[in-house]
Order: sequence, then structure tokens, then C-alpha cells
Amino acid sequence: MSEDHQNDDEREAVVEGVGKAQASRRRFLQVLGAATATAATSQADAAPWEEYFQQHYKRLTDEDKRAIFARLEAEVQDKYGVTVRINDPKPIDGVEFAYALNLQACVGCRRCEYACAQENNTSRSPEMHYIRVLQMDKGSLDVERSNTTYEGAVPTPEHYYQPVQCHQCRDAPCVRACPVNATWAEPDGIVVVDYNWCIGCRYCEAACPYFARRFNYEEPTVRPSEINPDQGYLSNRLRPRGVMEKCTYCLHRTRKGLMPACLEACPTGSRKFGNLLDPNSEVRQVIETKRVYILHEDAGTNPRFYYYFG
Amino acid sequence: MRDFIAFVRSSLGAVVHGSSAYYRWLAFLGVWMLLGCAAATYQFANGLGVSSLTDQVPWGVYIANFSFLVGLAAASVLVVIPAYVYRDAALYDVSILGELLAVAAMVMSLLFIVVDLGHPELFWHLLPMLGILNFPQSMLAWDVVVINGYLFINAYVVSYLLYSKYCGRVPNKRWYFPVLLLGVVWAVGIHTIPAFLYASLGGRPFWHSAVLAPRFLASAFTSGPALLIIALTVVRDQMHFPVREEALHRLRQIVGVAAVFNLFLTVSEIFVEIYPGTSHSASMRYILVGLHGHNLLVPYIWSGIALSVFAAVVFLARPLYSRPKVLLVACACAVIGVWIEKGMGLVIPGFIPTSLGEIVEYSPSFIEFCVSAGIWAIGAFLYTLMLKVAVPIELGTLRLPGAPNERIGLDPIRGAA
Amino acid sequence: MILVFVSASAASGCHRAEPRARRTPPPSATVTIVPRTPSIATYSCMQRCHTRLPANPAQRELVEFHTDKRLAHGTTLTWCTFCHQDDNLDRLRLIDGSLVSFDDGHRVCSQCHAERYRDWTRGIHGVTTGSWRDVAQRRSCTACHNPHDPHRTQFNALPPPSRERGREQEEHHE
Repeated sequence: MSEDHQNDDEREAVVEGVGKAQASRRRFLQVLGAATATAATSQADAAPWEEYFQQHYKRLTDEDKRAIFARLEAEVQDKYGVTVRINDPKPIDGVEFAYALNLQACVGCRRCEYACAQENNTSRSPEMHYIRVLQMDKGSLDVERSNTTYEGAVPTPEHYYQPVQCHQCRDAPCVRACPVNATWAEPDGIVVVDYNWCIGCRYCEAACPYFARRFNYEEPTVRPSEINPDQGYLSNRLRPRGVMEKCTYCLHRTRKGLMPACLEACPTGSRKFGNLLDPNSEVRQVIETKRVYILHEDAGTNPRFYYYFG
Repeated sequence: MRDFIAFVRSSLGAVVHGSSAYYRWLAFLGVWMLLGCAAATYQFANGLGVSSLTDQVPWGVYIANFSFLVGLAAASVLVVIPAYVYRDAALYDVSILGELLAVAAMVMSLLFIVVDLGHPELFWHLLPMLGILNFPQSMLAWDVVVINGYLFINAYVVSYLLYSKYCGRVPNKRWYFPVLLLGVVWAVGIHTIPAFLYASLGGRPFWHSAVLAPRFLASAFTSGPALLIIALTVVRDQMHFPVREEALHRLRQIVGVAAVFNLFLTVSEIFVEIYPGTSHSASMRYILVGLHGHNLLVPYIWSGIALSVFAAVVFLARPLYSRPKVLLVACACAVIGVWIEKGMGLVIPGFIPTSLGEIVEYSPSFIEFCVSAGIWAIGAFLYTLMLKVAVPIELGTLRLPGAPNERIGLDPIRGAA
Repeated sequence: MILVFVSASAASGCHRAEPRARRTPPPSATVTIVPRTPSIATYSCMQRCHTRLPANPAQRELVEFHTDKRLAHGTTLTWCTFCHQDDNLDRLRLIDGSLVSFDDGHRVCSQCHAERYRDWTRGIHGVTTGSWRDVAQRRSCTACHNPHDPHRTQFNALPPPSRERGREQEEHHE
């Protein structure tokens, strides 16, 4: 199992600052972990303690990560009987991801919502969707007048449709809010959550102006047959109860060059994704040639998500 | 050291002996505490799914109580300032009761935060060095610092004062006065930081208001001393602790001014939201008249406003407040009014409608109710036990064997000299 | 105590979400146009049918063949031969008379819809899937729009997530 990960394009440990202090801290935790491990009668009993004392993602070495990924893979195998592969693709230099969404073209069919749920292993019961599609009144940009529970034939003559998901803000209020740094923006702009570091206070959820973050109030449930085995540690791996999760622009796909699942599922081509730093990318073309607007721009979040009419 | 062991032993002795009314009161609280512990255990085992919180309304009765309780701690600073800075002897006599109330309030605040966490067992992630405290970026990190700090400051000061008096010594100003003054400064933080926790969220227009911190201060200066008036009356009648009329009078003056000012700030907020009728007024409309047919909180909010108005009228009219019973009722009304306004009345509408315009209403589940009641019972229990030790020490009846049985430090300035 | 806070803030300050200095972006994706011919069901037989029955270029009401084809594409485009070459049905024709493959159908569309076409070449309009970095596949106009009758049709949306927490009490509001 660990050999698999050797070739994996693993994220470099972004261990900043006081290396010494962190090393000693890690040693302390290792000693603590070892003490509890020896106290435990069997190897299996050590796992919960290892998990409990697991450090923040940015403080993990590549070796730590391999062990953790192997443990998580084994847990899924035990619980669901499904073989999954947890990888951790790193941000690509010279890449800043952004999304553009064509409000003229979107018909509100919710294909993106379901494709997202399937790709990202979000809970089916209680159901959790990262994307909300708003049915908007023509003649208004006011989301408060929108309806998110519409059904039946779309598009209707009176409405247009506005899907909303995580905007991967440059000045993300959720990142600022988190008391333990369990959520942060990666160098490619993706705001991620360390599911093993989150303490579940939900301040980030209160801070988000896009209703983009979700909390696992209950144990997430996904049928074994529906589990997507291609899993990113910081994105679509199966989450524990009591932690936050959110859209990551499918970083386990996009950091490998693929498009996000919601884009692939869209039958109308409303969704445009790409590298904001590449002048030829579709998103850059949209920003440069179309009239673009930002949802809740007054919130000062500077998102990497643009709406346009075209 | 031996003195300290004697102090602990005497304290325990004071706590376990009491009248039958005292035991009945403890038993009553004990039942609620057990119920609360059972509910909290159930919640810990089954997750926050047992609450009625949702992604739309992620904070409910726990955070509501937290917001209220940080305000209740104002009972401390509002007796400490007159007693120690303005040398008010009447309030000095009762200042320790105010500080103990702050200790109980801080303990309850912390408990309400803990039960609101999805993973309370991972609290070590908050500890600097071992974990990561996102300070100074996160307002919640600030909150953790100010609440723990305030708890520490108050607990230290009262412990030192009580221990010194128990030993028959005049408390040495050098050992407590700087910390006491730090507590006065810290009190500014304890009331404004929780307000900033909400007001700093630009995406929640209902909270994103500069007047929120002043409202927190005004409502804290209402609820804290109002509850202290009730507590002092009970202590005077049940534990024969002499409380001077001037002390109650001074507190009533403070509560009166604060209650009126709090109402004024609330009215200002309502006016600014409602009159221009911007889309940002949706939350205010939701609590006052309901929104798109959703009006779960409307009667609740209006009863809170009615209680606050009634209390303010009593505090202003001499024929009313001069009757002790009416004053007590008014104090209770003021506390409950603030509890409604600063609790669920502040937290829930911040999420309704959501930032995408959805409306999902919230009312606490049975488990949330039991956990909350349990934490309140813990706070009341703690306060009762602390009073049971503090009152006899203050009266001079509980002393280290051999120490003089007289009251100490009626005038703190002279006493410390 | 204050020192502890300062050091804590310094440590957590490092975790602040600041993207690193950028290097030049990787090269842009190569865009390929998904060929239309494999997905046109009648493509292989068009020329065969009309070898036996030469196309009648006269504009009239169709009663025998192609009765299922409603031609409702604006006011200019009123007859088959506007886009189809009547004596070579494997090809489409441009206004200047030159012939193009069905795989280059977008060139026919571009003659009128110049602005849309420009947006499409830039990836602003239309469906592009695959990779944002390596090779992207772009659908041609007629993959989505029926050239004979290009009005937008309705279809059913997938249901809103009904088993979501708090959904059961939520009501639709207008």
C-alpha cells in the first residue's frame, strides 16, 4: 500500500516557521502516542490514539501522511469493503484556479448538484449538496427573492438560474474565522479543510456569505457501491461526523489537469473553469471580454468565482 | 501550606452543612445537572445530529446562552469599579458576590461553547504550541482568550481575598490590586469581543452593525447587576448577610440607566433597519413581524421587548421601585428580557434568511433544552457553593482556628494601607 | 501570558492564506473540436438516398419525406439548400458556395452568428470538457442546438435534495 504512495505526487510539506519547536512537539506527541500504544493490548487499539493525536496537515511529514493515508484506506476497507486510494496532489506552480458561470445559459437542471455529490462522496442521508441552484426572478439580482426548492420543467419563462457553490475567496471570511486554522487557502486558491483538525465550531459556516460550507451533524452515509474510490485527502475522502466540508473545485481532479465534476455534468456549457494566470484560459477570456459580476461583492471576499451573461 | 489545607477543609465543611432549604435547593439543581449530563453524554455519543441545528442555522440555543452569559459577568466589573476605584463602602461589602457571579458566568459560557463543538474532545487543537490558536485573526480565538482570562482573573482575586480573610489577614493590596485593575480593563474585552464575533461577519447584515458592541455593553450592564440585586436579596434573607440599602440602591441606579440605554440602542437598530427597508432588513422583519409567513420567533421577541420595557419603567418610577417585591420582579424581567434579546433573539435571526435567501426556522430540540438547563444548573450550583464559603468568611464566622472573628476590610483603601 | 499570545499569533500568522509567488503559468490547453459526423444518425445514408432521388431544390411544403423536420430557424433560413448542398449531401455549403464537412458545421453557423461564434472560439460560449491544461474537447454548435429548429426546449430538473437536514420544514416562498 505504501509503495503506491511513493510515486504519488505528494504535496510537499508546507511546514512553515519554527521547525525546531514543531519537531519537539512531534516528538512529544510521538512519545505520548507510543506510551498509549504500549499501554494498549493490541495494535488495533492504537489507531484511535494515533488519530486523536494526529497533527495539523501542514505539520505532517511525507512519512506521516503515508501512514495516515494507509490507515484511512484500511478503515474504509473495513467499514465498507471498498478499496479506495487516497492521494494528495499538490498545487501546481503558476496556477490559480477560477470559475466562471454563464447565467444566460444555465437552465437550473441541477445536474451539477448530483454529479458533485457523487464525485465528492457527500452524505446521501442526510443529503448534502455543495451546490445550491437558485431560481431567480427575472428583473432582479436579489438572492433573497430566489427559490431553491423548485421542481419540474426548466427553464421557466419567468426565471433565470444561479448556481452557487464555494467561491474560493481570496479574502475568505471562513479562513479568518477558524479558531484552529483547520481551513486555509492553498497556493492555487482552493480553500480546503483538514477534516482531522476541525473541531466543529461552525464559525466558518456563520462567516460564509455564500452558504458554501456544510457541517456533518450526523454520520455521513454513502452506499458502498456509490463510493468514488479516487479520493483526495483534502477533498473528497469520506468525512467523519462533526466536521465541516465544502467544495474544493474537485482538487483531486483539477490538480491532475481534469475539469471539476460539476462542469463535466453541465449539459448547457454554463460552467467555465481554468487557470486565472493563463491569458488564454476560458475563465480569463470570460473576464476580459464579457461583463462579469461577483455575488455579494459588498462582503469584501474577493472570490475566484465570476458570473457573466453570454 | 497547612493553612491552605485548613482553608480547603473549612470550605468543604461549609459547603456540606446547611439548612433543609439549602439541601432541597441543591437537590433540585442536582436533578437538572444529572439530566443535563445525561443529555450531553447522549449528544456526545450521537453527535450534534440530536440538536435541531442545520446548515442554514448552525448556531442555536447554546451560542445564544453563551452570548447572554458573557454579559452576565458584568456584575463583577460594575461592583468592582465603584468599590475599589470610587471607594464605595456599601458596594465593597458585596463586591465578592459580584465577582463570584462572574466566575460562575464564565464557567457556564465555556461549557456552552464546549457543548456546541462537533469535536469537544479535540479541544487541544486550540492550545498554543501543542495545537494552533488562530490568534489574532479569528475572533473566536480572541473569545477563548478573553473568557479564560477573565475567569482566571476573577477566580484568582476572589480566592486570594477569601483566603487572606480566612487567615485573619488584611489582603495585601500588592497581591491583588493590579490583577483587579487588569480585570476592569479585561471587562471591556469580555463584553466587546463576543459582540465583534458577530459584528465582524460582513456576510450577515443583521449582526454587521457598529451598534452591536454598545448594545452588548448596555444589555450586560442591565442583566448583570439586575441578577446581582436578586442574588443579594436572597443572600440577605436566607444567609443573614448584611446588605446595605445603599448597595441595592446603587445597583438599581446602574440597572435603570443601562436598561433605558439598552432599549434606546435597540430602538435605534430597529429604526435603521426598518425605515429605509433595504434588503438587509429581512432578518429584523423576520423577528418583528415574520418573513414570508415564517414567524416562529415573533411572539418570543415581543415578549422580550415587553419585559424590558416593563423593567425600564419600574427602574425609573420611584413609587414602583421603592417596593422591594416590585423591584425584584422588575429585575427578573430585565434579566429575562435581555436573555431573550441577546440570546436567541440575536443569534437565530442572523441566519434567517440565509445569505442565499433560504428560510429555515429553528427551535431547540429536547436534548438541547436539557443540556442548556443542565449547564444553568451547574452555574447555579457552583454559585451557591461559592456563596456558602464566601459569606461566612466575609461575616468573620469562618476563620482559621485562632484567627480573629471580625469582618475585614470594610474600607479597602484603609485596609490595604 | 502576553508573551504566549504573541508567539501564538506569530506562529499562526504563518498559516495565513497567502498564495506563494507565482511562476509562469503552464502552457494553455489544446482544444479539439469533437467531430459531428459520428453522431449524426442519418449521415451515412443521406448521399445514398438522394443518389436515387435527386433533391428537389424548389421551396415547397414537404409531405412525403422529412415531414418530421420542422424548419423554424429565423426569417432568412427558410429552405434546405441554404445550408445543404443539394447535389452533394455529405457536405454543407457556405454562402459563397464553398463546401465544408459536417465536422466544420460551426463555420456555417458563424456566417450569421458572428459574435456567438467568436465567443465559442474563445470558450466563452459552448461546452468544453476534458482538461483545462492538456487536451480539451469542445462541442460544435449543432451538438446542442438543433439547426432546423433551434429554440430552447424545457426539460425536467432533478429534484431538490429532499433528505437534507432542515429541508422538511422549509417551504417555497415567492
